[in-house]
Amino acid sequence: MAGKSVKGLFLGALPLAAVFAALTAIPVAAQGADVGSLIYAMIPAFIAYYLAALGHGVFETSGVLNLAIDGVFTLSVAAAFSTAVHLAIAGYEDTLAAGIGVLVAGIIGAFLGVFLAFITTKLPISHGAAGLSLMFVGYGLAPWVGLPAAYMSQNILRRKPLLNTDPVTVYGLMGVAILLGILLYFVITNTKIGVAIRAAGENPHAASALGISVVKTRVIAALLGYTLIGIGGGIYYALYAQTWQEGSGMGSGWIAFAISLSAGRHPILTMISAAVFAGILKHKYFLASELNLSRDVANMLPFLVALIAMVIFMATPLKRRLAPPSALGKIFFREERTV
Amino acid sequence: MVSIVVTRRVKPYPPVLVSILAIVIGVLLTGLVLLGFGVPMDTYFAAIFGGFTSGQIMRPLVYLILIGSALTIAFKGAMWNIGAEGQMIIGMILAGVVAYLIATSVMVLSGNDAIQFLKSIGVQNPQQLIMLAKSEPQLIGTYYIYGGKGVNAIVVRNLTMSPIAAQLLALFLAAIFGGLWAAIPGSLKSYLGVDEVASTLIMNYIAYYFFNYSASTYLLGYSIQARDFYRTDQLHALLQYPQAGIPDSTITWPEIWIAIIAFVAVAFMLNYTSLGVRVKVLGSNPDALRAAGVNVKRLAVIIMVMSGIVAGIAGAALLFGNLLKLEAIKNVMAPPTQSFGYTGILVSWIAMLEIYAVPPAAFIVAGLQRTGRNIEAILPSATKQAIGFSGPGVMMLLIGTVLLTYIILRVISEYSIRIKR
Amino acid sequence: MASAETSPAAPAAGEPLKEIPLVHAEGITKRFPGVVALKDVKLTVYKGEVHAILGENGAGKSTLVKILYGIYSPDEGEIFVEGKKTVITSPADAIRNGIVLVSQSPQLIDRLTVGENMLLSLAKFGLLSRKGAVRKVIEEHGEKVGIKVDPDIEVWKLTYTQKQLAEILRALVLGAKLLMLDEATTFLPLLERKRLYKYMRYFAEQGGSVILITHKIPEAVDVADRVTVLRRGEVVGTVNLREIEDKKEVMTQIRKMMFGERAEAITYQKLPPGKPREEAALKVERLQVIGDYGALTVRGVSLEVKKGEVLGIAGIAGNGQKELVQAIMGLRKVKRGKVLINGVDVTNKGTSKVRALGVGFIPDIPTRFGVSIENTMVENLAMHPLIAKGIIRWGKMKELAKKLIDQYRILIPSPTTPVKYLSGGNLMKVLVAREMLVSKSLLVAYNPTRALDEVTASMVRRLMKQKAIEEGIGVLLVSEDLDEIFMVSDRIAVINSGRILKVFPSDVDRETVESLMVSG
Ligand SMILES: Nc1ncnc2c1ncn2[C@@H]1O[C@H](COP(=O)(O)OP(=O)(O)O)[C@@H](O)[C@H]1O
Ligand SMILES: [Mg+2]
Repeated sequence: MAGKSVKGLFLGALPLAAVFAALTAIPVAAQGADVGSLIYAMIPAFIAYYLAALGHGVFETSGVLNLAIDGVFTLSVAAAFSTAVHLAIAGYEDTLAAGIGVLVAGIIGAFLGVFLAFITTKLPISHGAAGLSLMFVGYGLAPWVGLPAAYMSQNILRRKPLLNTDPVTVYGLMGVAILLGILLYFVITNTKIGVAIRAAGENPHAASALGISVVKTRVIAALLGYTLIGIGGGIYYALYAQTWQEGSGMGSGWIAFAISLSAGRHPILTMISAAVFAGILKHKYFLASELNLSRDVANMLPFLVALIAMVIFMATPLKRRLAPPSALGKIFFREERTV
Repeated sequence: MVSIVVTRRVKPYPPVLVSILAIVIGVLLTGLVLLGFGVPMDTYFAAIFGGFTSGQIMRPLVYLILIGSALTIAFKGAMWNIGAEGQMIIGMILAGVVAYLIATSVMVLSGNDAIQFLKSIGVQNPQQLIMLAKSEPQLIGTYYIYGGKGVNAIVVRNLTMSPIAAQLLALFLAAIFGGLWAAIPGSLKSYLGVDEVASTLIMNYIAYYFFNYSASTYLLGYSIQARDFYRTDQLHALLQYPQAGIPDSTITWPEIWIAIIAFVAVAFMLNYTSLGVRVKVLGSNPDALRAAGVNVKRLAVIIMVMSGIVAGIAGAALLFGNLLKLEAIKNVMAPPTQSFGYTGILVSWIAMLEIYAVPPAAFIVAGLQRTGRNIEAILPSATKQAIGFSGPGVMMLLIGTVLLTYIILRVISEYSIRIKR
Repeated sequence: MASAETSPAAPAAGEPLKEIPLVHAEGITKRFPGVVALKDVKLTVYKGEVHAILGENGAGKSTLVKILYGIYSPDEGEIFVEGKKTVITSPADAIRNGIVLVSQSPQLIDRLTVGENMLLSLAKFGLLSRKGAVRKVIEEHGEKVGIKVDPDIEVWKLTYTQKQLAEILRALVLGAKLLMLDEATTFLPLLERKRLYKYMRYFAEQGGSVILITHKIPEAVDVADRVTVLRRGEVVGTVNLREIEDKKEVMTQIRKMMFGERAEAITYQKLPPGKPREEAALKVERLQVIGDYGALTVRGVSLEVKKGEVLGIAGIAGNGQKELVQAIMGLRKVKRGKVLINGVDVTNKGTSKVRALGVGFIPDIPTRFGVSIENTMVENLAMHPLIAKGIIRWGKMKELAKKLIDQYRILIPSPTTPVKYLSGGNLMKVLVAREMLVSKSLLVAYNPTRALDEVTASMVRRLMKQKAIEEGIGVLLVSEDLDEIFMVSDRIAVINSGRILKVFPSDVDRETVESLMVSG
């Protein structure tokens, strides 16, 4: 069993690593730029997208189709920004304000995620419809949260409170993200709650008949997963994008979705996939100019790659190795007719 | 210990009641949230009322019938096409290709040539040219004059084919490419199992950026404003759809006809053909359909294509009837589709995926969609800035809240929820 | 003499049962859309008894035990466990009260190991406890009961029988006081079944209680202390079997209670022989098919069904039957070999090609692969490519539906009623009627009566045979019910581990077939 999963890991890692190598090779070859600084530049994107994708993976492992991710991510970005601005105006030091902003984003994410998990499990509700409506709510709330703060940051504060971008903070946060991934991998594979999360995603009817509470399990998965998605959104503002305007973060949730999917929701493999995307996102304009493409094509690139990554995952043996949870997105109703 | 027990109701509440209640509750909830953000309740309700009573409701109504019908095909077959946005955009781009590359030719004249040209058509000064273009567009086409007092250069855009043929060709190509665009996520879902919600949404962004690319490169206009804003020239006057003349509305006849024809065609397909029956069964039990010998994978792709065709047509119509130019998107929350691709989702759900309920549902959603704009018009700009007013924010919030209320009420109508102990 | 009690809650004095009711349910009512599944049901299970619940299909047996296990919630009624009123809203509640259900389809999670499945069940292990913790518990209990399973093996690798045994082991590890078996033994091989019945008696002697649900009336009468009969959601009565000598008579009485007048329609007699012709309706050559988890499950099957005959395929569940049928119908990819229908090669050509040759199909889960329950009867007809093409004239479709309703005596308010409001039997009739209509050369039936009571089952069998005799179509009957195979078939093939071991004429004796079915 252990042997097989290691082999599967390699199988998934190889093509992704190849893409990664190719991606870093292009700018290096073109410019003779130093690899270290290129990689360093993409770490903030990596942290933001890895955390969101990791959270998404954990959440979906429990069987709830996560279509709310982009809306919640967008709202988290705005929430982190708004919190940071308000706290900075109240006299907090910028880094602290931004840090608290990130945590608040995590809490908001967790709140919405738990709500989604609860209604889709307790009530026989279409996961798709519930997720989408929550996505729209997230989109709809984000400008209301962000715009007043943007006004204040421009006219009162005259700056945007951000996290430090010194190597200690950046590497430190990256280390924390990677450790979180490893920890979650261990929890999912080796503990009872992890087994329960997988069981709820594979066959909630059987899981419930075995005697676990599917609702409780999925709520816990949502708590873990969506806190990470929210924090990912917070980091997106405070470390990666370092700015906010209406629409900030929109679409990034889908990229995190694709990152997680293309790595089969595997906490460790997601790291590689997130690194590839971080590279594309950070260096997309550079890549585009090297290839003589316009800015709009550069902006399109991450989405194109996201689509292609999902296709590659589904079209290759990767899918069978890292099969999606059997009950993902299926309505769970204990009194479903079976005869 | 308290537990919530959910059982199926023997007699569900009537679905119409659910739709109506969902709208009422959803609207109220949104009002409360907006109140929290600082929009006064009376402004909100005045805006909603205004939305339903002004002629301005016509355009959203027409397009929501179109997109609502398109999505009803897809949703009935359980293909969650969230990509009507992208399919509309592709339709628009194709209409633009016809309007600016196929059906019109461009003549750029500078210096002496420009003056010669003016003379040749008997025009003495630029002012006269403007008059002539207005009175006889077939002769002079769309023109731009560069230079200050004297004429430096003239750009003339002339039709090269009959306007009707051009308009039909635009609709045709928009339909084909809208369908093909939708066929991509359809096939990925059918043959590889890629979730269509994620892929259609991602493809919306691809379409948006492709749109920007198109508007700022091969479709880029010649006028100074066009170059500044990355957009095409104004549509040739003869290609623009004729106004219907409904008070307070800029809606045009072809837009109205397109909506009616598409709606009837979709209704006929769903209710009177074997394809329609299979679409319905695919939505409720694909396994049974497969075992009966229907190629369900192909059927799923066909469903997406049909959906995309209607959405593509809607995109083309919007260019010819309303936009009259294509301009690069700056804020993804405010695309040229006016987000009909997203609001259409709401229409389809509120209509309970029943095609005959699409027009009334479209009416309701159209009224609500105007709300954001109306609040924007009513609120003083100082207030707007202070509370961080966002028109798209109002609309998205309404879509999300009404939809969420709807699905929860739907469950309550079909299931009884009791608390034990 | 058998005594049918009217009040099972108050056993007559002098009855040899221990008089402490372990579980007592009263006034249980449960409604589903279109049907009252249970109506004011009262059931008492004493400590130390094996209590059989019998009833025709759709009588409400499964509903009742699912309520006791907390899967369904009753609309009305109360449950007492050891005299104490208890609200059970989830299986976890039931397990806490010592009630455990094992049903026909194993409720284990395929992609988890046996150990992981057990870990989930055992409340004494906390959320953060490690996987390995459960191993010792499994080994200890397994030894006691004599069931050996490897805790590290993933469930999908187990055979059906092993899964069911693992389920029963789970029930015992959980310390069940009341063990409920809902058709859990139906598909087990005879030997295994007998062993289990013996264990059940032992379990009851130790003070445990068992609720046994089965379609096999003789076995129930053999093993149970008491029998409660349900009919259309109501308790007809409870029969005490303790001191009964004449088992035949009591069985007749139970059948009467179960089916009423219709009991006479049940036949276990062999149906008249078919009229085989020269041409083959179906020819399968050295077929190889891969199963759900990538293993070769059909391993070189060759067979032939002549027009006008019924070929029965006997075997224990999970020996490649499902994959074989799906491959023939074009629903699953053929790895190697050929499928010919009417002499036309349809290997890997898709279901529509197969269907176009006039092939009917009755699957084992009618609500999944047969009809679409959200749709109306006419829609269920019109969805079929052989019945409707292009523009549909609904008037004609309704006429056709009415004709079938009359012919098959389907109980349905109107052709435009969604079929979800039909009872299981009528739903099956809709499916059978449609598939008979499209069977022009071949009918493939896979466990066609699996979920049916004896009356409906008899009808379906008769119809299949009739079609073969009168219209000369070939019928391939794949069934895990050996009685059925013997009743209908003209020739009997035995499938085991994905291979056809032998084909017998229909007068072969049962033991021969059965021993081949279970041979290793
Ligand atoms: N989950 C359900 N939803 C709707 N109807 C159901 C459900 N479960 C059972 N029924 C209906 O209730 C009746 C009793 O079913 P069941 O208890 O399964 O019967 P049995 O096990 O005795 O064959 C049947 O008519 C069946 O169709
Ligand atoms: Mg049953």
